[in-house]
Amino acid sequence: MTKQASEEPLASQHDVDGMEFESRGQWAMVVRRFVHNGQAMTGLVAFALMLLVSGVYTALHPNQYSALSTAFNQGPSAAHIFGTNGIGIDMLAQILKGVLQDLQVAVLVAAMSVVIGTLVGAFAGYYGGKVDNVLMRFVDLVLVIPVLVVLIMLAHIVAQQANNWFYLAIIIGSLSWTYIARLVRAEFLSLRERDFVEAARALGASDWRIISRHMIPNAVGPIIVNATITVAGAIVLESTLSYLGLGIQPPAVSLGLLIEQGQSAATTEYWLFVYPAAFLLMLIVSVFFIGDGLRAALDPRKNRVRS
Amino acid sequence: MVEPLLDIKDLDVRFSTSEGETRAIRGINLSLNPREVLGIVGESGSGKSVTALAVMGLLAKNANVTGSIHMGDRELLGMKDRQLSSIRGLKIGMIFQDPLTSLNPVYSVGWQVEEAISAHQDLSKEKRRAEAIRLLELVGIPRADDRVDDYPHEFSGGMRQRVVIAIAMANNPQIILADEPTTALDVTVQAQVLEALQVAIDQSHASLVLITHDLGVVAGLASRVVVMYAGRIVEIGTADAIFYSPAMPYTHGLLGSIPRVDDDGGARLRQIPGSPPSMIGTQPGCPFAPRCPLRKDICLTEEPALRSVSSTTGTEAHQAACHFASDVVTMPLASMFPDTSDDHEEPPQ
Amino acid sequence: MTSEAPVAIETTTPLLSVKDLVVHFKKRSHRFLKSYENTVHAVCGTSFDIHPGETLGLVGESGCGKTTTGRAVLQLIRPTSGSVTFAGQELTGLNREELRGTRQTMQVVFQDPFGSLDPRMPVGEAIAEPLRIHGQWTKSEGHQRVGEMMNLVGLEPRFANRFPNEFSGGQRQRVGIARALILSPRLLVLDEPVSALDVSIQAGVVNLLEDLQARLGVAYLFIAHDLSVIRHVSDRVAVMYLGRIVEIADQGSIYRRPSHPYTQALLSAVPIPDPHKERSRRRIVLKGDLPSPVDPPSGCRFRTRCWKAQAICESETPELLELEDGHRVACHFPEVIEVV
Repeated sequence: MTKQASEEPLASQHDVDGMEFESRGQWAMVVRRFVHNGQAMTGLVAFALMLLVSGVYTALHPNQYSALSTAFNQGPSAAHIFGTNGIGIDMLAQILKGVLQDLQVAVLVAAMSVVIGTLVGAFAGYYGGKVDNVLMRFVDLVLVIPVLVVLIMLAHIVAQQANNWFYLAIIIGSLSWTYIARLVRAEFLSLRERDFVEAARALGASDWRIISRHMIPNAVGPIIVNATITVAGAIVLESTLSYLGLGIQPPAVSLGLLIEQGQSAATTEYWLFVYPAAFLLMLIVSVFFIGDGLRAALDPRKNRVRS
Repeated sequence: MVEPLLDIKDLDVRFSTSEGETRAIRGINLSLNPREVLGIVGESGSGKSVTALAVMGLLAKNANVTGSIHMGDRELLGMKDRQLSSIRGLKIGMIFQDPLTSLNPVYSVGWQVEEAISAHQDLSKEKRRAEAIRLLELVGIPRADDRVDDYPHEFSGGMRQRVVIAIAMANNPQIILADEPTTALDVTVQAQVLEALQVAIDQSHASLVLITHDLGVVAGLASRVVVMYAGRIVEIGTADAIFYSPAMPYTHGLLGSIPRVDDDGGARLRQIPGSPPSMIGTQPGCPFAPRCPLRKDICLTEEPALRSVSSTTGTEAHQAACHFASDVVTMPLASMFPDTSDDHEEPPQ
Repeated sequence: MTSEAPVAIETTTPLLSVKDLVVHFKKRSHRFLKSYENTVHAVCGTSFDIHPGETLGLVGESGCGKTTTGRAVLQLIRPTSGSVTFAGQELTGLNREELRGTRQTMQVVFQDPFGSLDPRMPVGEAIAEPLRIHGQWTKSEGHQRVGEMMNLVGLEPRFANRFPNEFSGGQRQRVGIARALILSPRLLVLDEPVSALDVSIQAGVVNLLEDLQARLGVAYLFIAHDLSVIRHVSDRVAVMYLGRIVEIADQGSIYRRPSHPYTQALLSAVPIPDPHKERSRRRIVLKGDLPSPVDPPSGCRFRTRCWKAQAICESETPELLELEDGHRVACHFPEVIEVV
C-alpha cells in the first residue's frame, strides 16, 4: 500500500506533457526509503500520535491542566486514567499540556539553530579565508560557554517573566546553533570544490544564487537530520532546567516540571512520576528515531545509479 | 591437451540488494592454461571484476555464488577463509586498480613485500630483506636497496603499482590476477608498469589474467581474449581472432567505436546505440539484442549459447554467443554499425 | 571538423588568444612546528590561439597543467601573469560583473558527469539555469528553448523534470553539453569530456560534439589525456609537459611527424587495439618519474627524463620555435621520429 503511494508520482512523470520542473522524484525516493524503515516509521507514528492527542485534548479542554478538583492524590481510574495530583489536577491533562509545551520550546530552539547555524556556516564555508576564520572563532567562543551555567544565571531573571517558555527557548536557541554551523561549514567546504558549483560559477552565477540554489539544497539533508537532534536536545535541556526549578514555572507545566514535582512521591504515588517520565522518554526516543530514519533516507550514496 | 591451471564451470554470482537481485555473472565457463596471458575485456558492469573477486574468494557478504572454480584438484568455491589464504598470495597473486589503497600507508614498502614473503616462506630476516630488494629491483624500482624503507606516500603512482606487482609475484605464484592494473595511471607510466608486469610473468612463469576495458592494452599483451557483456562471456578466442575476425556484433561495435592513435581521425566513430542493460531481473533473449543492428526475432526470445565459430580457420577455440556468428565473422570490421549521428529525431530549426 | 581547410582557419583573427600565461599556486606545507610556503608552478608561459570554429586539442599527462590552463582561460582561476584575449577583449583584470558578458560566449563542460550536475536540480532546470542567470528566461519561450536543446543533444525533452541520478553517464554528459550551449557560446572549453565514460558510450558523445561544431560553428578547447580521442577530434594539437607547451602543430603533422622527444614517448606509449601492430611497435619507455612542479628542472623541463639531454638543456630553456609550417617545437635537438 505504502509502496504504491510513493511510486505513484515517479510513474506519473512519464505522462507529464511539456515542461514542468518539479522536485518530486528526488523527494519521492527519500519518502519511499523512510516509509520502508520500520524504526523510523515507529518513531513518526508515536510522535504524530502524541502531538495529535495532546493538541486535540488541549484544544477541547484548554484549562483542564490547571483545573482543581476534590479528587486529591488518586491513582489511575476511569475518570482520571493517569490519576490526579495533590491538589486534584488531572495528570493526563497536565502531561498532554506538558508535551505541547516541550515541543513549543524545542521547535523554536531548532528553528533558531537552523537559521543562525546555516547562515553562519554557509558564509564561513563558502567564502573561507578571513570570513571563515572570524566566524569560526566566534563559534568556538559560543561553544565554550557552558550552557547550563548561563541558563542557571539567566533563569532567575527569566523565571519572573509571564510567558517564560519563550525567553527560555531564545536563550537555549542562541547557544545551540554552533553544531549546525560547524556542520554546514564542513558541507560547504566540500561542496565548494564540486564541479557543479564550479560550473555555475563559469556560467556567471552570483554568490547568492550558488549558495541558495546549489549549495543549501545539497546540504539540506544533514541540516534536517541535525534539526531533529536539536529538537531532542532542547527537550532534554528544558526538562533538566525545569527539573532544577529554573525552567518552566507553575502554573505552566512541562514534562520536566512534572517529573520534579512527582519524584518525591515516586514510591507511593507512582503515577505522578512514572507517566510524565514515560512520556518524556517516548517523546525523545521518537524524535531520535525520526532523525535516524531521515539520515538513512537522505543518504545520497544510496541515490546513485551506476552508468 | 594441457591440464588447465584454473577451471571455472557454470559460475553464477548474484547480489541481493534492496532494489532486487542483481545477476552479476550468469553462467561462465572458462579455463586458464599454464603460462598464458588471458585478457578479459568488458565495460563497467559486465562482470569482469566480479569474476576475479570470485576466484579470490573476495566477494562481499551479500553475494550468492554457485558453480565451481577448480585449481588443480582443489575446489576454491566454498573454501574457508583460512584455507583460501594458503592459495591467495602463494598460488595466485592479485593486482588491483588503485595502488594507493592496496598498500598500507603505515608500513614501509619493504616491510609489505617481506610480509607477503613470510606469509608463505620461512626465511631468515636477512634473506627476506634481500629477496624483497631483489623483487623491487626486478619490477624496475631504481635504487631499490635505498628505497626499500620508504613509505608508499613517498612513491609515485606508477612506482606504487610496481610495488604491488612485486608483492603479487613474491612467492612465484602460478597465476597473477590483474584487475585494471593501469587504469589509474598516465599513458607513459602505463607503459612502464606494463613492462614491469611482463618482467614479472617472464620471471615467475605465471599465467596472467589481465582484466581491463582498454582493448589496446589487451592487444599488446594477451594471447587469448575473453569479451564479457552483461555478466556473460560473449566471445572468446585468440587475440588475432578477436581483433581481426570478431564473431559477435558487440565486439565489432567496440572495435569500431574507439578512436585509434594511428588513424588520422577522418572517419566518424561507429557508435553502439543505447546503453548496457540493467542487471536487475532477467529478460529473455540475447542481452545485446536491443542494441544490435542484426537483431532478428530469434534474438529477442532465445539467448544464444557460446558456440564454436566454424568458419574461422586456424583458431580452434574461437567461440561466440551469437545466433549469426558465422555471418558476423565474415563481415568487414566496423561495417555493421550505421554511420548515423544519432538515433534521435532531428530538432526543429 | 578535420575536413575543414586549414588555410581558411589561418587567415581569420583568433577568437581566443593566450599569451605567456602563468599560473602559480601557493602551497603551504607543515613539517613539525614549521610551516613552509611553496610555489607550485602549474602553468609557465603558455601561448596559443584558437580560431573561430576550430578545435585545439590540449593534451598531456596528469600534473602537466592542462586543466589549470582551461580554468585560467575561463578566469575561474586568475592567472598570475600573462594575457587571455577573447573576441578582442582582455579578460585578465576584469571583475566578476565585467566577466558576465564573456561568460555567455565562453562555456565549459567538465569531466565528471556525476559531479558536474547538481544532484538536487532537475536536468531541465539545470539546462535552463544559464538563461535565468543571464536574464534571458521568459515564461513563454524558456521551456521551448530547453526542449530544443535537449533534442539537439539527443535527449527526450519529456525527461526534463528528472534528476541527474536517473540518467546514465553518457546522458548526463549530454545534459552538461546542452547547458553549455544554450546561450550559443562561441567557445566551449571541454575538460576531459569523455574520459569518465565507457568506450561504447564515448563514441556517441564524441560524434555529438563533432556534429554540434559542424552545425553551430562553435570552437573547442578540447582538454584530454587520451591521445587517440585528441587525434580524432582536433584540428590542431598542443602537447603540454610540466606547465609548458612542448609541441604544437596541426593534428596530422604532430601525429605523423612528432619532433619533441616527449611527444614521441607519449605517442609510442599509447596502446593500439591491433595485436600485430602493437607487438611489433617500438616503444619508448621513459625513465623515472615526473619532477615536482614545486621545484621544476632548470632549462628544458623534460631533460631529466630525456635520452638526448645535453649540457645546453640544463642551462637554456628551449623556445617554442617553428620547425616547419605551423609546427612548433620547444627542443634544442628536434628530430622527426615516426612512432605510430
